[in-house]
Order: sequence, then structure tokens, then C-alpha cells
Amino acid sequence: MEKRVCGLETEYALSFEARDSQLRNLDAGAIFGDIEAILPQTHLTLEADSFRRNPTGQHDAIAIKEGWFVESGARCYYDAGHVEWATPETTSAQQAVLYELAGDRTVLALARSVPMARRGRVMVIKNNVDYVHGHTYGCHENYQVVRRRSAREDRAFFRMLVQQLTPFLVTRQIFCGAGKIGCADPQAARTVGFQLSQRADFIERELSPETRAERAIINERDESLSGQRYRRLHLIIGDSNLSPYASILKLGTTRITLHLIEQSALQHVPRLVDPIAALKAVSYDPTCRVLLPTVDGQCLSPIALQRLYLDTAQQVLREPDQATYQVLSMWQDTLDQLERDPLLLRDRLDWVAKQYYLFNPLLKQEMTTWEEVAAWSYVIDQLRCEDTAQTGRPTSQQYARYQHILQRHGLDWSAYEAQRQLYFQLRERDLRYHDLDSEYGLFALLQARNLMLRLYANEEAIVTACNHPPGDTRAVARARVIRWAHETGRAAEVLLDWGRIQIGGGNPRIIQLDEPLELYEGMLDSVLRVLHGTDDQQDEIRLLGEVQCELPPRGLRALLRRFMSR
Amino acid sequence: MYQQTQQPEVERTPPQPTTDLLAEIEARLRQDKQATTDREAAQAALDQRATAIDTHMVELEARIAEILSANPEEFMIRFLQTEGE
Repeated sequence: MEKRVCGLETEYALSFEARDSQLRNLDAGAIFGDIEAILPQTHLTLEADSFRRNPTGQHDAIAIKEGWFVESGARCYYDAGHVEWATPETTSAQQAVLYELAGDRTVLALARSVPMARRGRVMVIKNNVDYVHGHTYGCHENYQVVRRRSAREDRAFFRMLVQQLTPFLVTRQIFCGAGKIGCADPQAARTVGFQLSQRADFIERELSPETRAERAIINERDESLSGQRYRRLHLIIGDSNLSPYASILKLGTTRITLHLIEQSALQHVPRLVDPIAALKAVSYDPTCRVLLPTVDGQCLSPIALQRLYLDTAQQVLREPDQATYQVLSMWQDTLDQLERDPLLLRDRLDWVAKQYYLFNPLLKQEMTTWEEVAAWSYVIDQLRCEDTAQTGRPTSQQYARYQHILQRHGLDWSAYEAQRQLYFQLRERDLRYHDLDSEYGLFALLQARNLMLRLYANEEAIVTACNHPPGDTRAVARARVIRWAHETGRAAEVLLDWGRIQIGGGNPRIIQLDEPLELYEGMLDSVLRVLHGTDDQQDEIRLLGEVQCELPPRGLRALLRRFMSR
Repeated sequence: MYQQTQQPEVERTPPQPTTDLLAEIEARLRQDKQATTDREAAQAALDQRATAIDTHMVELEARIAEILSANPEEFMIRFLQTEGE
């Protein structure tokens, strides 16, 4: 399989738990301000500078702070109320997840270091939803895709990509859903007590460039952040995974599917009649057996659809590299086990672990079922909207109003108090699962008890990933410039963006990082030597044929002429 | 607390943290396959002794209860986030 870069952008939810164990709201923007002050003390950093590529002022509409690139090539910034961490460019799912874990660790360490942490605990919750307003935030995936030669061919290719990737994305939640209590869709809320995905509720379109509204299965924003040869496929549909196994599957199977699409190997995969309805149906069904109608008249389960992709991958990828082979094995194993019994995957899939270890014991204790929980959740949601939260007790009018719903499910008001307690307990457990703190997080607890598979047990590798870039992408160049800037005390002269490095004060050189798989070693060597150098060393500028240069045009032209004539 | 990072020397080729990563994951997966088989066998044995399962889950539940807040309603309604992305 050809190399391609991929990466993750995670939005973290911050909250503050005071010493009295009460949760308090905090201003994530102010916390980010503190983080900005600490990050340069704990890491080699350079300020990010993406406004130049996007000077339209769009940033003004939502709160964005550029943040910093760190020496691993990752970036920490503030976006729409959330501290966000983007991994550096990586070349395998396994590598990407290593850097995802490094990001988790760094953000948690920073949250522990802010001044507010002296008065309690700044919680870092890696999830995608709050249960009060139903607000969502993302864990975005990025994949490098080679464009077709002409614009027309490329449009046709993207249409094909959307068509063939959609059924895969709709059904991959069966292994990479993070699990969520309840349902935001009022039509389904009475019957859905638990669902596989945190994000499915918020996906409304098949294709859209938006991220804050009209979210789509495939985001069609076309911002390459590299050369025009490449598209950066931006997916916002995925959940934040705590389980590295689920995260590797999410990224690894998507990478393989993109390869199959590029090889035109997925022509036989049927299109779904209604992808959005299918997405929700899959999310609502923990048996993974719901049948999804396809345009060719079949009805396929999500497992069967995933098997179409896996079978094709096994046929096409005859001699896979080690990373791909590993993902293929995990994919097959997962589908086999899901077919037998999803609960067998309780040690590796987030939604299954939550259900088995955190939620089902509570339901058993209360002698209730998910069907009852769903009906009660709907009623309790309605009552909360009607502002009975103060007393917790419905009025006689409310009793009358919701009586028919309870009756329809064979329930009565005698269970109200117990179900109301359960409603909040389930949601607290869900949120606590995503707490990154090893002392307080329920995922961390399961992992500490060896109830969750620990794939990245090598602490040294995670620590190294906090400070070093992947060795085979342009993140190497970014990291090298950051180190150089600090070594030479010239940080103020460098502007960094994902696809661009500008170095030098009054006489800046610009290196376009158009090829995500290039290390740009020779080019950086020459530029850095010139910046250090004497007049003689200006000879090194011959490599500037590859470098766009913002030298005064006359000087540059003279230099280039000099070397062209040699 | 977070450890202060040492100022590293400028390196031409930075170390690759993924060296051996795949091998390590592979070993973990293989180890787990055996563990799963063992666990399934143990589970089958446990299934016949429901009390033992309960004890195992009760222990876990007790630890979870220590972590959770005394007032889950308060916890949930105070966990407020802005719409992201």
C-alpha cells in the first residue's frame, strides 16, 4: 500500500472539580491562556501562524487562538471553546495513535500545571458531547489523498470517493463508536437508551463543508495544507476513542478503504438508500445486526457491509506491509467477534466496555432494561426542559401529560425517583469514562485492572513521541526548525504553518512543505547555513531553486542568475 | 507534575519513536489472544458459579463508586461545554 500521511485533531472538554468535589464552569479560553504561558516552558515551541493562509477574517466569527507548534511537529491551539491538539503528520494508524496518546498526555500535564489546578482539579475529558445542552465537539481525522490530474477528473474521483466511502463510514461505528447514553433525536429518544456513537446524533448530511452545523458524513472542505497535488480528506464523523485498539481500527481501516477506492476496487460495494438514516440505525443497535437497505435492493447488516470492504482489502493487498497486515488482522478479528457476540470485545471497544462494565451492572442493580431506561430518559428530559429540575418532582399536569408514554411501555410513576437517579448516574459514568486522569478516569481504571487491552505499554515510546516527530514526514522539518530557532535564539524570526516555514527577519526565506512525505533535509540545511553564514556560504543558496524566497527581488534574481550561469 | 524538558541537541535525523512499535503491538495482540482464550475458559467456568462473577464485578463497582461524585445530577448539569469545531 502506498504511503500517505494521516493525523488526528482532538478537541478536549475542560471542567473544574473543586476540592469540595463540586464541578465548576471554567473559561476554557482563559485556561488556554495559562497553557500558552506554560507550554513554552515545558516544550520547545514556536508560535503557529496560519492567519496568513486564511486572511479573510473568518477566524473572527469564532474564538480561535493560533497556539503553538511543538517539537514533535504537533500543534496545540484553541478553537471554539476547546483546547485542541493536532498530531503531527504520521504514516500509519499505529503511529498516529501513538501521537494521539502523546497529545492526551501533554494536554493532561498542562491542565495540571495551570494556576487554577492549585485550587482543585482541571478535568480533561476526551469525549464529544455534554448532556446539558447537547453540544458536540470533535475528533477530526485527516488523510492525504492524491488528486487526479485534471480538475474534471478530480471532481469525478471525489464523487466516486464519497459514494464508496460512505457505506464504510456509516458502518465503522460498530468498532470505533465511543458509546453514549440516550439520543438527541426526539423521534428515537423514547426507544434508544444507549447508542454506539457519540457523533451520530449530530450528523445531518451526506456531504457538506460545514463543521459547526449541517455536519456531514464526509466533510468536503478542500484545504490541502500541502501542495495542490493533494487533497486533505477531512472527516468529522468520528468519536474520540479512549481505547487505542478502537482508534487504530478507525484510522487503519479508513486508510485501507481509501487505498481500495484509489485502486478502483470497490465498484461492487452497494450504495445505501438513506445513509443518514442508516448511520443512526447502526448507532442505535448494539447487536450490530440491523439491516440496511441498499439501492440494489439488498438489506445488509453493518457487519456484512464491513466484510465487503475487508474481503476486498484481503484480495487486493496481497503483500501488505506490517502495519497494514496488523490492521487487517484486527479488522477481521473484530468482525468475527462482533458476529459471535459484541460483548466479547469488552476489553477493546469503547462502547462495549462502557456497556458491559459501567452501565449494565447499574441496570441490573435497578432491575430495569434499556427499553425502560429509554422511555424514562425521554420523560425525564422533557421534565427537565420544563424546569422541574429545581424540585425534581413533576406537577400533576406533567403526570397527566406523560402518563400515556409510560403506559405504552408498561411503566408507572412508582419507579420515577429510582429512574431519575439512574438517569444521572449513567451520564456521570459516561463522562467519567473519558476523564484522562489515571486516578479519576473510568477507562483508566479498567485499563489499570487489565480489563482493557493496553497496546501501548512502552512508556518510553509515548514520552519520546511527546518531544520527537515521526521520522518519515515533513514534521521532521518543522521539528528541526523549532530546535534550530531555540538553539540560535532566533525564534522570533520564524513563522510556522502546516505547509510552510518562513525563516529570517528582514530577509526571510520561505520553504513550502508541499510534499507531506518529504523530510526537506537538504533544503533546510542550505537555508539554515545561509542564515548562519558568511558571504562565502551564500553559495549554498543554489538549492533555493526549490525554495520560494522572499528576498528583495533584485537580490534574489542576481543570486539565481549567478548560479544558473555556473 | 510535568517534567521540564531538557533542551535537546540539534539532531539531523530525530529518533523515530515508532521503531519497534508495530512489533510491540503485535506481541501485545498475540499475548492477548492467549489471554482471551484463557479468559473465555475462565469465564465459562465462572458462568457456572455466578457468585464468583458477582464478587469480581462488586469489587470493580466498589472502586467505581469511590471515583464517582456523591451527587451525579450535580455533576452532569455542571459539565457544560460549548459547541466545538
